[in-house]
Amino acid sequence: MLQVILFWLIPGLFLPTLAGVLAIRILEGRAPVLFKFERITLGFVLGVTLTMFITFFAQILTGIKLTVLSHLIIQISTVIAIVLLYKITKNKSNEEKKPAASAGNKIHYSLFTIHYSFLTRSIILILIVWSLLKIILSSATFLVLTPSFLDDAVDNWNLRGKVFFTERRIKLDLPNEKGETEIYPLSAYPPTVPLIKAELSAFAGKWDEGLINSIHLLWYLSTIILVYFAIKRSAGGIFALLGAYMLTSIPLYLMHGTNPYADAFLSAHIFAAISMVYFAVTADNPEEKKSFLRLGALSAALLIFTKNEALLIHLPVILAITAVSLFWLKKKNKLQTSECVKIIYWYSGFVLAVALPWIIFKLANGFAFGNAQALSGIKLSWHPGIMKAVFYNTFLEGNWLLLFPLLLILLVIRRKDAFKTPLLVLTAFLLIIYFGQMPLYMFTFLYTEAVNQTGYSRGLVQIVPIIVMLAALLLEKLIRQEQV
Amino acid sequence: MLAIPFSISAKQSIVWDFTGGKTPPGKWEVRGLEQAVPETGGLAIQTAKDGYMTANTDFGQDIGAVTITLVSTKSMESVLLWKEITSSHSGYRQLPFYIEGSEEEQIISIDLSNAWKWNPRTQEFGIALPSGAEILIKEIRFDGWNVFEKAGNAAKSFWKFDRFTPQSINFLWGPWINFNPVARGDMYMMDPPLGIPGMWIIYASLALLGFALSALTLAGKIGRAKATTIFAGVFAALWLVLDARMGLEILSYAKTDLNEFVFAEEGSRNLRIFRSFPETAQDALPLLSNNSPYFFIGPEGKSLYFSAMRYLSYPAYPVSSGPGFESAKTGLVFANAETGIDENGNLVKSGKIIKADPCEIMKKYRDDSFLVQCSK
Repeated sequence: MLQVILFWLIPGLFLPTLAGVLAIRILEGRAPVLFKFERITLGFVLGVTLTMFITFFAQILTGIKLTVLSHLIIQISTVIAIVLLYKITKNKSNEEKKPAASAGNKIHYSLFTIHYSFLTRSIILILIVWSLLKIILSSATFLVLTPSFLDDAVDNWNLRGKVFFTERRIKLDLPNEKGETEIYPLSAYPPTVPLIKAELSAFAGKWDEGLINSIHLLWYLSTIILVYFAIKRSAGGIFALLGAYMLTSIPLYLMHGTNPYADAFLSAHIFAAISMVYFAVTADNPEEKKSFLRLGALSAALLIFTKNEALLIHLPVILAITAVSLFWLKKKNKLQTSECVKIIYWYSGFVLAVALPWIIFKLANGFAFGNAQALSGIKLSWHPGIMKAVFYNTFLEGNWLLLFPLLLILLVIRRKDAFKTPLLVLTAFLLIIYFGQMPLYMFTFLYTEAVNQTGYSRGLVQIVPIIVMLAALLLEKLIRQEQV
Repeated sequence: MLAIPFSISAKQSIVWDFTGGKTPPGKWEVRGLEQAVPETGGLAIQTAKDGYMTANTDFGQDIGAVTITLVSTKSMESVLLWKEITSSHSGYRQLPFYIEGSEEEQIISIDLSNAWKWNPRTQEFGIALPSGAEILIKEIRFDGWNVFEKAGNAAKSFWKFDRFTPQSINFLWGPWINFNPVARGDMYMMDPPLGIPGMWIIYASLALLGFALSALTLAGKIGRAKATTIFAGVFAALWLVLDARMGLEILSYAKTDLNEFVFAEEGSRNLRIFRSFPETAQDALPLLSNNSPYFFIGPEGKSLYFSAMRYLSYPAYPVSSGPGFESAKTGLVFANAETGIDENGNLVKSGKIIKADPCEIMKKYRDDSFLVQCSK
């Protein structure tokens, strides 16, 4: 029965993934910069969010019932629209010039064609088996075989998904503890996660915990795959494997990947949005740079539709770093002014296309901005004990193994690489996001998020893939230098 | 080996034996306790007032834990007392512990090594009891462990795993270090755990290695590249150790879930701290769903159960207060021992009527839970 119900993942995710892959391929244009499997993976991540965004607004604007048929109509229409766009852009690009070489194909790699020693190959094999064992057993148990009684699952992601599925529409109100119907405060969260759960259930014809929770494992695996390919593009296969292993070994990230929480899902989007900017800066030719930046624009825009903090915290930082990167590319004559302007159009177009309707929707329904709590009316006061809680969580508990000491060591001993090369894109993002949140915990009512290790922990889960990528790339530079 | 003091070469225990009418040696002081009589079975204490008794002590060795053998039919919170040897603090230091009422003899072990301001050189140690106490103390044993046993316990505590709790999605305590088996047994029962974070051991090892390699490099004994390689190798090895430690802990969560829930027999399935809740809710859902809104009373202060019921039963929904609660006819009480039906058929909670309708229990479940139907 279990295998049968999980089968519905295939039809439920095929069209969203196809839409994502096609959209990515269009944005790549003449320079297909991604590896094939990376494109499919990113296509799944962005495609699901994109189609759920369209589904959400199609439902609230037209009142269409969220049945299998309506999901299919929306998704097929999306795919057709993208295919038409693809045809138009393909013809146009064919007329202009031949495709640039794929950055993704430049680095020849294979674990078994490179001559690693027997010991190295054995260690790699053992770590792969160990990581798979952890992922398979924990995800099967926590996501599929046991009910999920965790706060955000039963209060938000799964509850809202079940409401959407049962009501066949986006329903914002729920009965409270007294039985009085009122606007449910968590309806203020972007609905991608609950909506894809409702979509999968519509295909399956019933609400099934195993089915609706299994999507979280796919997001988790996607992030690992994206991190692998991103590091491989910059540093080669062995460091990509190292980075992928590091990410799978982070205990709290594994917990988030194998439980129905949305922070690993958000981390995939953040990773896509900021890593694309990094690759745009490091890419060899303007076509590839523009290709990465267009992909970054779509990823950044879709961030808005993942979790509330993405709009308030991550997106502004990503946009600021992208703007500085564009300025630098222009200054170094790596991109022409007209090309930079086009990229700004891409970012503006995508971000506004997602942000405007979402913000209007929130304002129209009187929803607060902020994550767990509204950020309006903040009063400032010092909250002691924050630094101790932060220190414990970051360095003394079992959450992150030795990731933060490693990052600190690398930032010190490879400071030139971290701060004076394109890696600054990643370093700046991490430092701004990390230290930018600290005053919120130290001086506002959000201090409970740090003292209770809730918001602070999840904030780190969201950026762990970026930390791993930066650490792996700095390690690569360290090792290469020591080998010289 | 002969130079090694006895105290570090073997575990030592000091026993205060109260059986056979004996009183352990030393100057004893009893205050407030109305009756403390040495009997054959032990020291019998009865008191209607709060009180305590202490003895002058000279342990002369490191004491890490105390084990009390007693009989008490009443549950109560008691306190261990000791006098600090510094002049700055004149009163007693206190460490509360709980005695579960039972007809049987019970052995209660309490860790002292992590107690605030515990000093084994204290000159006075005792126990305080609340009013109404009726207790027979048979033995108080003080245990100290030698360095090898402490090292062994530290290694074992590093590999002792926590359980999957609702907070595990926010943080994992990770390895924690304790130096005696009593503290090791209790370490994850507290938040934060007893002892010291095991990561300090990792950092201390890395710091020592770093200093040593730096010194050797500066002295020209080894090259910078080799020193970096050694440090990186040890760092990687420690990462693997921690990965194994935390990975096995997460797998232990899965194993517990599989044993206690997935593969457990129907009627005895327990899920983490939620115990029988999934099974109870599953069984009650058909009736509750047909009588929406239904009322739900869960464990005090645990709103997660209400949220879970709302999720599980949607579109049927629970109520817990207000007019909805008053008009609901069917309900589920889960893990709330304070709630029941009185002799008049009223639903009562902590002795107060919360539903005056004639109510009857439709089905009883484990963990103080039942399905209830009210007729009006």
